[in-house]
Amino acid sequence: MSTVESRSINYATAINEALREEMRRDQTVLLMGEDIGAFGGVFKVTEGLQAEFGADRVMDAPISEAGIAGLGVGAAMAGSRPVIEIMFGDFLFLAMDQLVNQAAKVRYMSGGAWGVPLVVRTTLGAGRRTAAQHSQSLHAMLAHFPGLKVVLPSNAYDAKGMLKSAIRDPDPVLVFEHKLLYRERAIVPLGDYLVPLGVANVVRPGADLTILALARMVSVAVEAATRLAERNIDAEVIDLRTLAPLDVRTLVTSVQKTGRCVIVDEGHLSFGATAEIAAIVGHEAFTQLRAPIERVASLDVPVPFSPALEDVAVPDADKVVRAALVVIG
Amino acid sequence: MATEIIMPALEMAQDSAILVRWLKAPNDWVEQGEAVMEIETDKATVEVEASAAGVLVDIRAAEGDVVPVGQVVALLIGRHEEHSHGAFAGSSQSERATSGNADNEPDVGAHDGDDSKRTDPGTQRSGPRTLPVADGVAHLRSGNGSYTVATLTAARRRAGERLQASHRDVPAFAVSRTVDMTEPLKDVASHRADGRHVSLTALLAFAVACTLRDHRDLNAHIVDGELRLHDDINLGIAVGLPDGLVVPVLRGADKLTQVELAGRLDHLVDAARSGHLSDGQMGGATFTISNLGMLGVDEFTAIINPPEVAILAVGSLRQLPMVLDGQICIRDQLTLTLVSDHRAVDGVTAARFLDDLSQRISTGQTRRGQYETTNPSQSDH
Amino acid sequence: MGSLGGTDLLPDGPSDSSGSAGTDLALRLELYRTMLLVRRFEERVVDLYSRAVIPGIAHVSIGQEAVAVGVCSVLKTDDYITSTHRGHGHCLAKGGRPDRMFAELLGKSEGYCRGRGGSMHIADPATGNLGANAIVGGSLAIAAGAALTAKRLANGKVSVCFFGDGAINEGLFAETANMSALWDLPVVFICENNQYGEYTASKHVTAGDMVERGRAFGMSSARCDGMNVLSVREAAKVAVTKARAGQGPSLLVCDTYRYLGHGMSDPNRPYRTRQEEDEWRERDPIQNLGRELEADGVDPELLAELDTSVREEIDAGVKFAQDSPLPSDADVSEHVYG
Repeated sequence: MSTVESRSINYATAINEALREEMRRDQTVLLMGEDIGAFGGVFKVTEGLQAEFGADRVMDAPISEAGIAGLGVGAAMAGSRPVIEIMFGDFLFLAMDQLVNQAAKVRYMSGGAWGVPLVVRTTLGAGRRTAAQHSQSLHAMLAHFPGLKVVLPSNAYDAKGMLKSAIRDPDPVLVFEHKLLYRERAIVPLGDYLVPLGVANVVRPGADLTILALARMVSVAVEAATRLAERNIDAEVIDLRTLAPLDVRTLVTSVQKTGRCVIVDEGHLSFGATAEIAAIVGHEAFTQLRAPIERVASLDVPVPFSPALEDVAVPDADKVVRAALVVIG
Repeated sequence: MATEIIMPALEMAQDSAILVRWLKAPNDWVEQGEAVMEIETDKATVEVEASAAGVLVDIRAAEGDVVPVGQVVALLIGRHEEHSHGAFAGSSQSERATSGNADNEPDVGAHDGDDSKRTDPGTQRSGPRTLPVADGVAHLRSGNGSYTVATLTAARRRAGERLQASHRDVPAFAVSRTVDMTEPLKDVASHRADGRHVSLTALLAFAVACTLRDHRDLNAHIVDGELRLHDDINLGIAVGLPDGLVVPVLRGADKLTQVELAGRLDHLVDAARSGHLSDGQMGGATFTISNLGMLGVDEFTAIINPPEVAILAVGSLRQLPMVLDGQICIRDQLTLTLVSDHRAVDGVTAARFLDDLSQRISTGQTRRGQYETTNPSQSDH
Repeated sequence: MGSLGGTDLLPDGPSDSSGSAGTDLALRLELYRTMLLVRRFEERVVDLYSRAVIPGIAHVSIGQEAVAVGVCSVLKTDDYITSTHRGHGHCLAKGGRPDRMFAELLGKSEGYCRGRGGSMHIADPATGNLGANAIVGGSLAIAAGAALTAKRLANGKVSVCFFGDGAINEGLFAETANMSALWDLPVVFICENNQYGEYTASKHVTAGDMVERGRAFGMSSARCDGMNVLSVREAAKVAVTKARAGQGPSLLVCDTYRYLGHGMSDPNRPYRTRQEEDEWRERDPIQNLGRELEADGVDPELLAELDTSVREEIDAGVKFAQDSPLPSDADVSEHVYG
């Protein structure tokens, strides 16, 4: 029996490892982004990579999101496996034509003649007092477009495994990394392993209600579950991990079992991920539901700067507990 | 080899279009790229250019037809090598049709009213016709010499049939009066000084509308032996265009102020000249005015537009001597000729109308009511 | 040559060593035939569209043939191109087949994109055609990205981006030109300046000189007569050779003209004068090359035969498309993901 060595590393390091291992394994993988090379990235995720692989494989790009995304699309079509970085999710808008009109649609519009095996690494999440244009969670917006895949690893283990899967995926994948998770540690195996896309993870089994969560809200949900346990409420927490394609089977099975559902996400309440998931759960588990679905999401306000306001605008464990109590009734 | 001219699809979700008019006639030579017909879709009226050169033959759709997209409406026959411009560059139409003239007065077409003495219908007309003639058509010969064939458009043919029926069936007679125009000319000048464009025709129309209120017999239609005296006064104003006459209608002319009427008249004439008169703007006239004054005609008798019972022909403004208070003076005058249907209108009725109208015009009654409607109490009817 | 009846590509690269003055007859006949193929294809597209056989919208490039044909004549089969909404000529000149193109335009399953793309998205991996794009300027960075891969893999390929005078004003042009020059990407930017962006003259919406925009990024930039296929070919040859040699990107502005409207619903082109159109038609690339060939002793009958054979190819392509089945609606969700 072979033992795979695992150790506790943080989320940023796990991603760095994924990139390094994939770049060693596959010469066509290349990186492009702003400040990722010499500087090692604003969150230090790509540290040391340019030193190992060179500046023509770990490319420092000008501040040109549309150009970076477009070059990524073309490079992918012609046989590279580019991993581009859009420093903050908020800057995705500058690249939207290339991501949505081009990357998402090339395979379909060409009838399968061309594909775009592109990975876009970007961030989501508030809580750092960086205000509205550096704190958005836009995964639901991108998940709306057929042709794109959207993943949100919630921990270092999933981050490494899912990024590897994303790099090997034939389609454009957006990997949303939560800014507040970069220093969070987990036990991560050294070497190669994959976490499949499109598969949710039951983080905490339970019988009384189902809490569905994404990214940093997974740990918020777990904290809420701990508090609920003190009240003898046994919550099942599911980390959805991939938003598109959603693992409908796992989450519906859970709600069919518990009959009660709370959905937690850091996107805005309106027209976001929680709305879509609630619609699916409501439809698939209709007869099993014993209470209306509760959604806990960011308020419909631009993320405020002042700590007093930002903390109110974003979900926390208290809000999840309150929602759970409503659902339990 | 023949090239099909089809009714084209210009965009999605368009399944037909109206063939508004042919821009070339049968047997015309058409250049590649030359406009061959005008069509109208829901969105626009456009010209359709020929995709190849050739002689236009086998026209299968008429002006006004609604044609499904993709249907063949005509053919172009000819061999590429014959034409010197070659099969690639083609050429585009280098002239654009011009329309209208720059006068302030509305243009009027020619009624064939200048033969008050009837001519023998069997008399042949010789010489060139005044219809649009196609280029490049072969000269033909007959016993009377050579000639070119000019096609009558469908619209002209229809109008011709109506006028022929009127000329044949209506016992028409004419009464004339020469009118002093000093006061109306002052009105036009005073309007202009105030920055308003009010044409002489507009003033005449205003006066006619006022007068018709007191002479209802002339604001009437004869239909199948029935005389209908109309409540509304809708004045038709004849406007001459290069390819025929159109008669836009000023509805409820008696309910408009002089200024309003002038504005509507200008608008109608513009629409008529640019080819944008809607069906709603034509038809339904109860009385028509035809003005050839700006073309120098002293006086003429127009042909009544059935089912109306009268038409007023307006001649040119001239400086003429007249006797006023025992003195000879020179005044601006013009001649009005009223042609009426004797089945509905007697000589006396016609004369009284014309007298009333002339008085109104020459004594400046046009100025009164300038800022009021012509109808003192609009709730009359 | 023996390839008059087929859709073979032109000989790769320069076919003679004596330079532009001695361009041989066979090459010029091929250029002539290919331009004629584009011209007859586009004329047929106009006809089919006006009969409501082609759904949607289509933009034809009649008048602009020399640019597509001249540029593609110096490319290899596996060099990349990206194309525009007015891209039928690019596709054909790069070796695309009329039959599969017509099938795509008619939305049939045997079209290049299995009916899923239509006129503005025709793509063909077999000829390096990364695809036409309905977003103005949408392919600028894609072409550069393909060049990036070619450079990384050191496979000697060049990437050519066809775009128009409208696209050069898109912000993406500046971003792409900057990065392409910065990283010496083997990409050639062909600006097909047909004087109008949709319904507006480019001179009314473009500040400065287009050629200077390339130079602003240190890129080799030039202008050529887009109505003369040999001029285009010579200028493109310089740029492509440079790119292939690893000497970086170029911008080539080709002045040309589209005779017809922007699209099918623009039949009367009210924003232009007939005189202007006639002046450009005098410079028709096919007509003028034909005259030159005849002056050099080519039998007019031969040119007429070329036209006939092109027309037959077009007719066969249309028939193929019309006989082709529509995609089954059960397949609507295929090819979203790989």
